[in-house]
Amino acid sequence: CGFQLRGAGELPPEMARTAISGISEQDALARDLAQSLRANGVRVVERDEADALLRITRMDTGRRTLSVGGDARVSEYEVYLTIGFQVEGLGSEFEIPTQTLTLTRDYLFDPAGVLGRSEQERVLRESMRRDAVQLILLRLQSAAR
Amino acid sequence: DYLPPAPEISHADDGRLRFEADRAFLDRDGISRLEGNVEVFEGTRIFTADRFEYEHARNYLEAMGNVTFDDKAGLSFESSAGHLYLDSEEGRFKEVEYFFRPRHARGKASAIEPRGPDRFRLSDASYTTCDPGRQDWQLTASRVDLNQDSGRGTARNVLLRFHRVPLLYTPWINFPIDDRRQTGLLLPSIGNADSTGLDVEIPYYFNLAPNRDAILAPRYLGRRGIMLGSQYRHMSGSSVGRFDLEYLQDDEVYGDDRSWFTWDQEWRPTSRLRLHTRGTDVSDADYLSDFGSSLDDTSTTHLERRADLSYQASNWNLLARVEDYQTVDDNIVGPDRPYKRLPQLLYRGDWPRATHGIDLGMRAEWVSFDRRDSVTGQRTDIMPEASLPLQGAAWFLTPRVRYRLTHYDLEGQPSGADSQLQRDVPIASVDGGLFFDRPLQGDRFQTLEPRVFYRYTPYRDQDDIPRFDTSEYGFSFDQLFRDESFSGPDRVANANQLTTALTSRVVDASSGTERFRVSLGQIQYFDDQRVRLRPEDTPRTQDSSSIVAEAAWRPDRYWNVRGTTQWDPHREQTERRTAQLQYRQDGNRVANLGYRFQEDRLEQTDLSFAWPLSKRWDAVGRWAYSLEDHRDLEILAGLEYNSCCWGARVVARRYLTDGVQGEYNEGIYFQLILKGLGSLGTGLGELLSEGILGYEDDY
Repeated sequence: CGFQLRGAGELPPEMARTAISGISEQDALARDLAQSLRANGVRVVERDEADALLRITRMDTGRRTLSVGGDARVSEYEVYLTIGFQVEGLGSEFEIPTQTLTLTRDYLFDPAGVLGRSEQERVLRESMRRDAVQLILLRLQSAAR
Repeated sequence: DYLPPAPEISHADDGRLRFEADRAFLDRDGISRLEGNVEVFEGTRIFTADRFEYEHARNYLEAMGNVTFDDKAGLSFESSAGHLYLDSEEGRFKEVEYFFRPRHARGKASAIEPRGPDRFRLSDASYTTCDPGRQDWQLTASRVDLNQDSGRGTARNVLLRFHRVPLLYTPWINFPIDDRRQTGLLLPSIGNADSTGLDVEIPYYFNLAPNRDAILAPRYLGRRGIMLGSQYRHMSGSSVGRFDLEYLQDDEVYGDDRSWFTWDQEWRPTSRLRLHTRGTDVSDADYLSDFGSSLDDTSTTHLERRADLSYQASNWNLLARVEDYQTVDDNIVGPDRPYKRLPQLLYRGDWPRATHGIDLGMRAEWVSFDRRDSVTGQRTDIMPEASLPLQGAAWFLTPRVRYRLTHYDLEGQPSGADSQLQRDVPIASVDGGLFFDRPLQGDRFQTLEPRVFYRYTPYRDQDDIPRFDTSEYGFSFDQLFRDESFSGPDRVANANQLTTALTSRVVDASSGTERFRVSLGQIQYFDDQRVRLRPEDTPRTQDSSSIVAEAAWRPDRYWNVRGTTQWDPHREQTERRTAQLQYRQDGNRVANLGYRFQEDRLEQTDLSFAWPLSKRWDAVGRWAYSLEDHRDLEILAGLEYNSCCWGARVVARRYLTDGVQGEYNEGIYFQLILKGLGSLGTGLGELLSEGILGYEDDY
């Protein structure tokens, strides 16, 4: 029905050598992004060698109460991740203007398992981060079309 | 804008005085007389008047008839007559009408006296930010001193009138005259609620230094007494922190002192080393339901307090933590209360592509748990892992193996049970997926993303192991691809299972924006799950999991629709269902409709909105209702009025505070915002942002 295996090398050629800025190199998002860029044939380099700069302009994460039970106590929490990013060519006119992604996950709160909560939130953030990397890649690829 | 335009000063600020006039008379005593459309330029100031006299010896200027004054800082005034010593910049002008551009402010005074550079004194003055012809609110004062250098004003014998009705008198007030952060009064709020009685809060802001500030907020609670709220914030090169304290001495209803303290303090001596502590402490479990400002506060069951010392190297990090929770729900007792971690040492290492494309990882933890009347002990948990991520543009495949070794050294075990326990278990998984695309009409394309995940973990008997910090992950689409069922090391689920899942997206080709996404997945179990969280839990014997589906749709930039469902095919029963519809044009034009269902736990609807009714009126509201218990959770309704120089908000709320007794707190809150007098928002805006997803406070 028209579906074909996704082709390779679809990132903009202006991003052949890309530096990531705005977050620490050790940040998990930076690592995941670098890995995905490499898998798409991009060399992730230091800024002074780069053709393009992928800048993370914003990264907010937090938690809010999503629902309260009939007992007036929290029953679900939502964790969210908001990422803003942009790409600018270094020495070229290439540009992807700032875009913002917001991802959310929710989980049932267990008042008798509070210590498990931080681990639960950690894995949910990890999964949002992986999704965010995929969505960023989709937007970068669309710039090459 | 009603304010007169700022003057254009074309002359250089060279310290010279320049005159322009129709006629000029020069006296031999050094007195010049200027008449007819006279303009005097001096530095960054301009005077105009019908007639001027200038005395050279004293550098003295006298102005008569239709005097105007403008300076670069934005002050201008009109006066009938006055004089100025240009050297000392001291003088006096009478019958003054003034404008101050930086605050959009204006007023009248019987006299204005320049008192040196950037200083002015006004006598019998009025002050408002309303347009001419309007006196919606007005301050009058016997004396006002303005200091443009410090950005402060002080006034004496101040009376605030709102629509000519006297509202507030103060013998002395200090207020900001520009946009710098200034010590001064913030917006007071007034309310009345069941739990507090009449509730009046008057916050006062202290700008202690460029990097330090504080708020002191006395709050009068009619039924209970006087509460003192305070906040202190500081920031420096390597540290940032904040402390909040509320204290109510001898609560007349509760019969004891009440307090709330929260802190957040971070110190980074180097880029790798970080010390962070934060937490909240309340005097009693009822504090949040008595004084909390939102359902978020009052529904809280646990308050965390912890201190972390962490070191981040390029491939590994080490964390030392002490952590404790205060339980603020008296229905949670004994073994349901959390353990303290005193302390926890946690090491994580990651070496991507360490060798032959293999990622290596290591997690190690040593932690000592403590809780009254419980089994306590130390746990050592070591888990090395290796994975081989293989990835192409159209596929990925990640085999991963882990080995988990956990040792317990326990105290307080029932007699006959071992105090030393050890468990080791390997965990293996393979995650793989494909990506297909096809073009659609209208510059869009659709993806098809099948994914499989296989996981194997052998069975280990763990019924003797106490449960310190481990609970079960909730079932969700994410959980289909996780190689653990439990969130801590106390249980490792046996598994021999295969997930199959499919995701499809519709994406705008030109922007990469995801317009539509749907995901569907299920786990096939080849073995029964014998490891249980509690010995009394029944093992799972079905051959497949519930089916999880998620969908999201963004038809345009304003609408956002999301939904999930989880269906158990064995019982033909829906376990979980959620739907969320949002329309958001901006922070003041937003509507949300939500529905959430969780079998045997909750079923509720949540409607909220903020919407302009006219140019000046806005309505806000929220209604959260539990279908499970047939009762309201929170009802909130409010109106906002917004004119050029003032705003007002009235919000009425009713929310559940005690589910067992079915008790509600009802209250009504009022806030008057006189623009140009206060510079920060207070509780009401926060309350609305928490209750109405996507709402933004304007003030």
